[in-house]
Amino acid sequence: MSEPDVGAYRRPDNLSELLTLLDRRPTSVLAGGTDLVVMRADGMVDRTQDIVDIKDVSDLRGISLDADGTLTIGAATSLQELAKTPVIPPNAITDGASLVGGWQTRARGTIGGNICRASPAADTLPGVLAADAQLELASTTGTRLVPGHAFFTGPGRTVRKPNELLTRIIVPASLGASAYLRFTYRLAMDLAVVGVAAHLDIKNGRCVAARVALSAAAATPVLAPDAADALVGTELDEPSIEAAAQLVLNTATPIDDGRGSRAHRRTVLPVLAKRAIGIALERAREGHRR
Amino acid sequence: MSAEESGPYLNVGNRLIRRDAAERLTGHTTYAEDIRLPGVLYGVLVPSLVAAGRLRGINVDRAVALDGVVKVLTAKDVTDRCYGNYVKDQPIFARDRVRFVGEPVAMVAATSLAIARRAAGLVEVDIEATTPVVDPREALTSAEVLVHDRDTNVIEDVHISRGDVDAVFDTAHAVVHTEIESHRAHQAYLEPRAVTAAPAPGGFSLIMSTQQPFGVRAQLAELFDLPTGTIEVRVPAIGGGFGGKLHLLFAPQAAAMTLATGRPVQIVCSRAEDMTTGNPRENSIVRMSSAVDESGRILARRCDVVLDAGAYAMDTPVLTSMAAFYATGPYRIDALDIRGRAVYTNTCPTGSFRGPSGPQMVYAAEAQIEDIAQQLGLDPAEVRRRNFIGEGDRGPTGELITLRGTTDECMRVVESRLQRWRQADVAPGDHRRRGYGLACAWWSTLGTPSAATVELHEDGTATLSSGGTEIGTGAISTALPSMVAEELGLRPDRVILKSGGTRDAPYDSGSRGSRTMFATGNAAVLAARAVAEQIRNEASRLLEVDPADLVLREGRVEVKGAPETGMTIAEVSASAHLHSGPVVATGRYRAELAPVEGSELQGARFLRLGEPTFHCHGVEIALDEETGRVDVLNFVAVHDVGRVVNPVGARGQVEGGVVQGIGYALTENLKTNDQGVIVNGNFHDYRLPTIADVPPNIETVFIETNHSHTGPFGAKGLGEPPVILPAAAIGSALRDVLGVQPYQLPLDADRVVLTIAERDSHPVPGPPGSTARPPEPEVEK
Repeated sequence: MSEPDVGAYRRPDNLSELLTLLDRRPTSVLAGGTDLVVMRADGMVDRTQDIVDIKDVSDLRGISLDADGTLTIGAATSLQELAKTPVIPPNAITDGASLVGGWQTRARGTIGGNICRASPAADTLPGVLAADAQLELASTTGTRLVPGHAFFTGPGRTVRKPNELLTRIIVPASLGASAYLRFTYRLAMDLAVVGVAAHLDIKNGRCVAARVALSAAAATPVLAPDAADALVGTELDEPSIEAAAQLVLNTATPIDDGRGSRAHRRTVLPVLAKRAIGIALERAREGHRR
Repeated sequence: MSAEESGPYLNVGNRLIRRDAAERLTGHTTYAEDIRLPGVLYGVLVPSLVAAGRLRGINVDRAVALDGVVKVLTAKDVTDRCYGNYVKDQPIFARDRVRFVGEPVAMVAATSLAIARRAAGLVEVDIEATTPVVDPREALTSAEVLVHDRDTNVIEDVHISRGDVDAVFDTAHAVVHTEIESHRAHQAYLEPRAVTAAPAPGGFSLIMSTQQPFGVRAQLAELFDLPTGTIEVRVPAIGGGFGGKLHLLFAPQAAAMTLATGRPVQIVCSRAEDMTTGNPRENSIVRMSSAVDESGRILARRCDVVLDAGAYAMDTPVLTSMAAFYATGPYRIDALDIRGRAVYTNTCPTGSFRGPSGPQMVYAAEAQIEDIAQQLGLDPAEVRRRNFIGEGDRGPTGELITLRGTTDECMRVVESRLQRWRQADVAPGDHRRRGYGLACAWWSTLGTPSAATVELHEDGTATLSSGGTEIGTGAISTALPSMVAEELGLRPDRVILKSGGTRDAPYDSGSRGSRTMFATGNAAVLAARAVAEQIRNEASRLLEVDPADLVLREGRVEVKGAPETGMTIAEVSASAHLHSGPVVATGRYRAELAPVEGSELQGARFLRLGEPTFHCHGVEIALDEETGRVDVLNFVAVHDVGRVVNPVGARGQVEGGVVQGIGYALTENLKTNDQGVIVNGNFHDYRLPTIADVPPNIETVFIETNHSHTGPFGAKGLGEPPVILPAAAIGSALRDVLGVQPYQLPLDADRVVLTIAERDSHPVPGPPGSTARPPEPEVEK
């Protein structure tokens, strides 16, 4: 009786061995497995590929804050740990982490997995873009940093090469605050119909820098520069926020699909933008920087 | 049977914990998939990937050549007889034509599931695709695209008429028109459909997740031209059905493979297969007009209902009659012109879902009440009150209502809750607007046939053998034995239940139509009463007392008024076994068919409520006007279902139904695209409500003062009604906030935003009655 070939399972305990395995042949990287296991079972991932499990490489986990305020998140850090972290106050990335799937998914799923899966609807990605984070890719030949907004090339596609591993998410120090909101039909266990992250830097009551990022509004998570630019220089009063929020539609190109209609997504995007900016502003005023 | 007993009862009305609760909760329950027979083959179906086309050829060579494949079947290998409840239109495998995406064209049986799946992918199916018809409106009128070899796609055409409707409409104070469209919903039971067929002498046996083993057996006997008794259907524990497991499902395919190979064959649907080849609740179009006087009294109604049957009729013909029947709602309307039609389309066949046609018909009838009230400037509750049907009135088909109508009593409870909620404070910072709404309905209790056997053993314990199927309500597993215990004067744990298939019990027409507690219960109670009589006769001989003076209570046979004179039931039973014979009886039940008078009925298959039940649901919603999101904050469900046999089970039925109804109203929507492909056949895109999406408190109230004349201990049916009202109540609450309500289901955020936009596109918010409403069309006659 002939069963199809399936790849081997490897679980190295150090990064250099891990990178060597990635270098050797096409490999599926397993972290939480919340997507990979299901996709392999459904035949959406080549089952002949080896599986390299990264959970035993302890360097890949954890959240730390440097003296200069730079935040580093290990790629294999679970979404649950990120959502509950005491290291930093609530922000767009942790907001997103706390919304992915259900409790079980968050306990197992990782930020690196969420990023490399590159779903346009992923909840942590707008936060990564809004925070202007750098994504560190490592291979046997070295490491490189890619800005979040340049990382995603299409649904499920990124600039990561098959022999590279996402190791760390590096978030620069900031004087501002951020927030992420999404629209779902259900209040739990749902996928974003659309989502918006907003990051604000405020000095003397005036917005000095802003980034707005969208999920499920295009083929990849995207920055919405028009909306962000419109915030800069304002005192973040209601009319300014409302007007800026409307400009997310200059960037958004949502589609009609089984999860929502294009028209409704376009209705909801500015509303979420307005509210996310409002929460970020409130957090900034309360001193919840990030 | 008469049931004017007033109690008090020792068991009936007590809170009973489901007998199967512990094994279910601890994961020890055995479902169809868990039973692996020795030598079993794994069956995988090869589906059509197109919605319509000519089947030019099927090449199975590559599949057959695969190591481990035992057999591949196509239409040419099996009988050309078709099956179906009312119209025999469905082949075991598509023959010459395919009619929906997912229709089985072939089946592989192999020694492992993985091999069977691979082999299924190697079957080459050559189909010349043709243009499908997926929209019921188009199907209704099209003469070019015909789903079957008939000159029309209309499969069922039903009329109910009474009185001079035209004359009333011509002279009425006002005519109000309401038109709604509804969507498909999947039953979404947790256990996907599963069946194992195995060879048996002269025929075959099945292990199947079904709500209706005797119906499956009868249809298979006909399909395979076998004596009924050569087929056995065994039903292990079922993980939910909700109407989705009434049909043959994939039993014909599994049986055909077993007959072809002489080996056991198991088919277990994947979730995707289950979601895309089931029989979901049908989408429909309901057009309704009422002629009213100035008080809001409805003098006449026209209604035209179109149900989308999908590619095969299944039980849609009777559902079409039900839809027509329920066009009046729980209101007395003396002049009626109701038409119900069902059309074929090249989509997944639709069929029964708990309360078939109920949610959309209640939505239409209640939206019509609100439209009438709005047009006349009246309170909608008052309009309802002026029209409620009651005792002595005749229903739409002319059935005399012999029970008190209690919809008003139900509604008064709901109104008191709505008033309380309106006065409650809203949390600071919560900017969502509140809406309050209610909906009323009535429903039937199906009185189709059942038999049950009760045997009292020498030790004074009893066995109840029922062909009824426990589908999660507790009616079979828990309520039936307690009712038998009540009749025999035993503790419930002294009555052992044997059920789960066709072998060990006489006929039962299945767990459906809110009938199980009522009709299966009646059969069990009749059997128990006959057994009690045998015991009294035996005791009468032993005690030298008139049997009429004996009562059975607390395990003893006692003389009325002199309880010290008596014997234990065990002693009497043992004596009977020695002297007069085993103590055993079979009860048989079929509800009497009451006369219907005064209506003209053409093609109507559903004529009677039997024992009518009355209902009102009330809801408080919070609406986020910017996103269209609706959250249900509070819910009250009031039901008159006669005597409540098991309060725990009854409350569970209501809460489950309300949640299912909220899902139907707000988030569940099985979507088919213009190519006939279901686009959300999985549990993340088909949005069942989670516990986070339903109100923390669903208050359940039973009006227990209107017992059935014919049900066991006065009980009526409860299974279906809780699911049919929530959408209408939420629609009413949306109107409370917005001044208008959507006329298209589901009431999801997208629809609510469109409804607000449509309302606002009318520049002047005019007087009542001029709100966004389709122009007055003629209801087709």
